[in-house]
Amino acid sequence: MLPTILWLVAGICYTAAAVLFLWGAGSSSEKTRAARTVAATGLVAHAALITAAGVELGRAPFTNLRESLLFVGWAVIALFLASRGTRRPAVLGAAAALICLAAITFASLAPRSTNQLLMPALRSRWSTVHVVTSLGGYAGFTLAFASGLLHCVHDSLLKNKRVGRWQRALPSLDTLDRFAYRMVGLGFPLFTVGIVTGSMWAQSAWGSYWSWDPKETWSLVTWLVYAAYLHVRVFQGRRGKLANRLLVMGFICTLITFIGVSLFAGGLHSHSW
Amino acid sequence: MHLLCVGLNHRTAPVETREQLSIDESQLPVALANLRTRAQTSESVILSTCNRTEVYACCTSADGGRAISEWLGSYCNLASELYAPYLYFMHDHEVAAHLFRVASGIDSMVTGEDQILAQVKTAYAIARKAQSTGSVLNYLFHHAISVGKRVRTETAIGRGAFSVGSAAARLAESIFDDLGECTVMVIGAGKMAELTVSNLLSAGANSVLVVNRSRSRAAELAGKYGAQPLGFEDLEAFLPSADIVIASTGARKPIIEREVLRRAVSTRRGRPMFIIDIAVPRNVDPSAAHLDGIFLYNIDDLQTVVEKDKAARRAEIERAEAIINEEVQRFLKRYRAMDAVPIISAMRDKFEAIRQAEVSKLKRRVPDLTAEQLEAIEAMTRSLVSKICHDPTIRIKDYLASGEPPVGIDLLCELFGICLDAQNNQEEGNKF
Repeated sequence: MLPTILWLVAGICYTAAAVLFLWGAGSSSEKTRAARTVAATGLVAHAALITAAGVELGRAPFTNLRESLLFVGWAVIALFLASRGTRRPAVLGAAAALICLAAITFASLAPRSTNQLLMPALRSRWSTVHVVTSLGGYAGFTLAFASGLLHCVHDSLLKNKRVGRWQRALPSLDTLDRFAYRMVGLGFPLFTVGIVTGSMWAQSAWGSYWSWDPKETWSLVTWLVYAAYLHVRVFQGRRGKLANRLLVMGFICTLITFIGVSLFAGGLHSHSW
Repeated sequence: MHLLCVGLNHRTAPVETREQLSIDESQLPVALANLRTRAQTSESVILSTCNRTEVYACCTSADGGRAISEWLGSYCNLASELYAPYLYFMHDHEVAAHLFRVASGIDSMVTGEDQILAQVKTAYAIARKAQSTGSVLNYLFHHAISVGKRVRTETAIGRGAFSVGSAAARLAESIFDDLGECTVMVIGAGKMAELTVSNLLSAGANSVLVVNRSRSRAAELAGKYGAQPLGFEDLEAFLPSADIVIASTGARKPIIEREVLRRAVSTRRGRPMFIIDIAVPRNVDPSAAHLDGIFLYNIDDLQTVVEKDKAARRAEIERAEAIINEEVQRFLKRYRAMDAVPIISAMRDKFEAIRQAEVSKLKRRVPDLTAEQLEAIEAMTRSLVSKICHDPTIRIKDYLASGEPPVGIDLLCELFGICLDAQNNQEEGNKF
């Protein structure tokens, strides 16, 4: 009963936040502020939901697709709210709220786990850190992708001179580029920690740091793409099309790593997401 | 009491007349005091900007408008035939509707501009400080300022570009986060280029490069913006450092080739470049628009943006008018109820005077009343008066708020001999 209520509260808050963000886009900073508050309220309910699930299961609730999506959705909102100082953030806020809504909706449709505890071989102190940081990384990459996508849209509107009310509501090209960069800047270190702790866990569970199973391989590919993005962005100071392409590629790899591998490939990570 | 507005604005009067009737901000307290004694106004606010001079006032006499108009002429030393034909006179609800439109920027020369709201605030603050406002104008101006804000937040009336220059500045803000970090390059000279630069400067830009065929002309222009003067030969070298380029030379052929821009873009490593080509014939090769990171707008593109915004603004004006109508109704309800206050208190004073007179008569006739009995009599008569006044009080308020002509109230005053003039009232009361 309680989880259902929390689930509903979070869903309603995120929907309201998305509506308020879009409604206030380009005009009202008051609506944007209200939307932030509503989203933060949703975040609290969402956190309570995750905690309740953890208490009920008696373990960290990040094992199956349902639980992972629930956490990624939470992290998306948390990262957005944490990134202050963005000008005209309304459309980005709406994007974050919608992404989170999609995540928790899919989570609610995903099968509920028959609460199998992890095999004794897999119990390790690395496990929670590994999963939380990896999922946090995914959340950062998702927001960076959304920002990159909006960058493409705004760029093409400006190029084709389709300017007006809606175009003006979008964050500036500078803002979108910087937001994506900041999100990768947060997501990449998290993801890196996820990979490192993952290999620690692998060492303690299977006796090998790296076994080239599909999830590991794809996470390495993902890591390399974002490393390339950061290299291009930081050391070459480049932005625009190339950086955006890397963001799109990176996000595709993220999806494969997060969901695709477990769906189609199996391997050592097949038990989890 | 009559609420009045007498004035002229950019629609009714030519600039020569407006100039002569404009009153400087520092002179306003003196003018207000003068107005009060000369035109017998009980409350007044003077709003004087370059587009309008308006007197908002409350008068007891019905032809207060004429007195204000005469005062205006004598205060500004202007013969009546020179300004009287341009004046408009408004009463009661017209005044509220007018001031609300003014505060919302609908009555402005450039629809929806923000400055007027600040000017209304200042005019009111000065009048208030000069103690020339009372309950009516306080309420009217507070209401007008909040209507001005409401219209601006709920409609897009003040948004959008008003000119080619502001359209350019707004586009620049869609591309760059902070214009303060942008370098603006102006190639050539001209009115339009200057306007565009000043729009960008007021939007926050501060670093300007001025390029001109003649170095001396460049230096002259550069002095204006505290900019760096450059000759044409420097153009290519400095182009990559420019974020916003304004081209407006009289050259017959493009002076910036696609190839030059392609090199500039690759030096800039994807950092976008906003090029405003307001020259005719165009100064920038139009095919450069396809380059990545180049946003090339010519004069027609900017003009289209302005036209589109104008059309959008017309729709917003309708929405603003609807808000204003709604607010005028709200104002009128309160304003008319304000009229009720003197009537009600006159009525209560009258009955209270009768009560006191009767009680003291009783005390004289029956001198041996105990204190308790006296108290009971006081309480009983008080409650009698307040019970009698209760229904008329509510009816008067409703009646006035409904906006019906006040025949009923006139009748009430006549039947009970209630006089609205405070002085007379006092005398009447003393008779009992």
